[in-house]
Amino acid sequence: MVASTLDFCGHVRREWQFAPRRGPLIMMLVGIGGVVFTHQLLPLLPERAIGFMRAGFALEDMAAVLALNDLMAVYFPTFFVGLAGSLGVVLLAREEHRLELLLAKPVRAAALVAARATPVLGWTAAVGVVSSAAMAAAIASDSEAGSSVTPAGTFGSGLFLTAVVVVLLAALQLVFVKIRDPFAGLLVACAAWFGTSMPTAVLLYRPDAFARHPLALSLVMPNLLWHDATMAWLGPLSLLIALPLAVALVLAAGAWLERSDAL
Amino acid sequence: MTRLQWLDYRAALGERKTYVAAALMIYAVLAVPLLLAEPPPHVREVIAAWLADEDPFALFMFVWIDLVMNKVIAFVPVILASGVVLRERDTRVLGLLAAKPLTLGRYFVIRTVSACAVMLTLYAVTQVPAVAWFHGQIAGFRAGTFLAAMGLHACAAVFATAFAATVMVAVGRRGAGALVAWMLLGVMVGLALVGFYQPDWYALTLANPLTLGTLAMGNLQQLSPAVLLPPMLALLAWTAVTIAAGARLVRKMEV
Amino acid sequence: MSGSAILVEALGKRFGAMQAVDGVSFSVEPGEIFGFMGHNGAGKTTTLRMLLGLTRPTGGRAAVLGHDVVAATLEVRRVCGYLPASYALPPDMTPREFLQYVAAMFAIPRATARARGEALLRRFGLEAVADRKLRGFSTGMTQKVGLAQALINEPRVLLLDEPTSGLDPLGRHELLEHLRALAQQQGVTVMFSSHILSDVETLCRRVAAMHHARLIACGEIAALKREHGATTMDELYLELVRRHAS
Repeated sequence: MVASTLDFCGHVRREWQFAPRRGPLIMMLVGIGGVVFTHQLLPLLPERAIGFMRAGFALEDMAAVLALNDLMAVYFPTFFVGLAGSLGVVLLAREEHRLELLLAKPVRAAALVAARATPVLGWTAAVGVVSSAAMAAAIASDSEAGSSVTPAGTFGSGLFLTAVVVVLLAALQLVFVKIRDPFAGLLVACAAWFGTSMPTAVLLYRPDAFARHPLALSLVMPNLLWHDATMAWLGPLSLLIALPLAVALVLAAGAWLERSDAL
Repeated sequence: MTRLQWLDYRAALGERKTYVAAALMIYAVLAVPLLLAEPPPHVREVIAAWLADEDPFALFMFVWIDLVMNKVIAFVPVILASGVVLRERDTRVLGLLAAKPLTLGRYFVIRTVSACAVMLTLYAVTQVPAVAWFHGQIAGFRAGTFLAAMGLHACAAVFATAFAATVMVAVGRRGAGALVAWMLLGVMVGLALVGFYQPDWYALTLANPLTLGTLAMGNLQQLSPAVLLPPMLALLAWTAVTIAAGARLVRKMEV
Repeated sequence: MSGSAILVEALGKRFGAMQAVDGVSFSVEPGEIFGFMGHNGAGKTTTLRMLLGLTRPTGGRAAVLGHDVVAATLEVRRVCGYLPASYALPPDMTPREFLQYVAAMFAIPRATARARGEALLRRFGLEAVADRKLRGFSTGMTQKVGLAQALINEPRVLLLDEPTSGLDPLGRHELLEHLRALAQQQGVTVMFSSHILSDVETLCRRVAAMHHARLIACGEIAALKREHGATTMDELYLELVRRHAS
């Protein structure tokens, strides 16, 4: 009897069933904890420190300062929980000699890579959504801090960052299928993460650089808070677009693995 | 054992990830003078107030440590140390090595010390040449003070490497271990300078080993052995305790 | 029996509810190539790992060259060479570097280590690839480097777990010749664990057979064959298993 082959959705369902859940669930708590910690710690800092952030990032009030720090509490755990899972899709599996076992089964490499990456990206998005919701709730409960940002806007900002993370991680799979050393993969991923944070650092120390390139301001994190009303609808929309785009990217990564001699 | 330590260090030094880490750090050395070419007045004022030092060199040191090197010690140590023992186990190399006359604890110590030595080497090959580059780029740059401050910071980097290795074996799985090590180092880095922003908490923040690595910033005008040695010794003690804890934890590992 | 290279007495290992090795006793004489046969999961690997102190026995005792495997684990490892059934080599090292690395684990002086390393590279025909990264080595080449690393300390006892599985006929023949030469010329005691019975017959005079965690026979192959009316190793093993089952 010949074994029947699964369609792509079947592979995704199987991988989803066996995907680790504990890490993402813990990171959801970490995201929530990060938001709570920010809201407890920042009001205790002297006015000079808060003023530094307000002036440096052109933020109107304390609410925006809190929201900016909250965004880091969304971005950091979301990216790194996703990265830890993403490494297992191809890089660690190849190093531990599991990939060839899996690819010997009746499944195309593109489908296998995408099916293994999809639960990782799904859980990453879930961590981002939960952390963003915590951030919105914290902003809502801290109404005295100011009105320059709203719960809906900050939730949208968090979702937008989550969408960026999901697409970035999916794009990294294109690199991972070509790398043999998981630690080199880690370094590349860290460099990519830093790359996305660099414009914000430049804004703090070289705001004059943006005077010549005003469009570059769209790359800085406070930009999400400057357009609070827009983010309220753009954030959810971007996450909706990011998910299929990410699946397309991991399918492309798998197709590239199939064509290359990467085993 | 010295020869094994030397061979292990050389093997670790020759790995691709070491070169990539060096490239990232060299990029930072080249990029920071551009970032600091025209700091806005509010940045100059606030940092001068935090460090009680109006010298532009103090501003440079703050940015170099806070923005660059503190980020480096949150990430690079995890990459250098997270393969210690766990990678050998997962790739089945440990099956061979564990049969040699060396306990797993001792092997962990050797691998971790190598990772720490690689971290120190990365500091040496980036910070020392950086002196020549910064000298022509940063107003009021003081080479001796810079190297002394970074010497202390290197001790924090060594601690971070040992810490990452120990966290990894405590967690027991590479992906999850790297994630936990990043998180913990991220929190330590995030809180490292809080004592400068809020002087009331200064004494409390000294419990954070990564704060100890930044203490030179508060004394740039009179940096002396009396300022540097206590935190250096404290960091070495932290490192030794951390490695010992890792060696103890690794004994429970199933080969 | 005090002169035995390997002495095993009622050795046992239990993993939770599963008895992996149950009251196994045998001895191996110095300079002997001793076959250790049994089906997969019979307990051969666990026994070898207990001999090296990699797994702690839950019953009985064992000694290698007079060193107790629990109390003097490092002494045992110092005089042993070991090739596990499943292993990998560090991909970023070359064979030459790896041999020097392993030599340093035994604290072998540098000049001696270098000389031994070069001799082993020559012996196993690895000179041409001595400076190539181990990543991508074939199974046969990997096994040669694996055996070379097991010999770097000039062990007096060699414990080999399924060393011929995965090798082509030529590679198998070469490996068996190397082992025979080691025993005959250098007096190395070899414990050769395998389920490839023809290899066991080619190499060994005496064998022990494991089945479901227990030792079901131990003695000279010729005598065991006579006793059980078997003409081939396969027949002998099947007969032993059948008798044990009944």
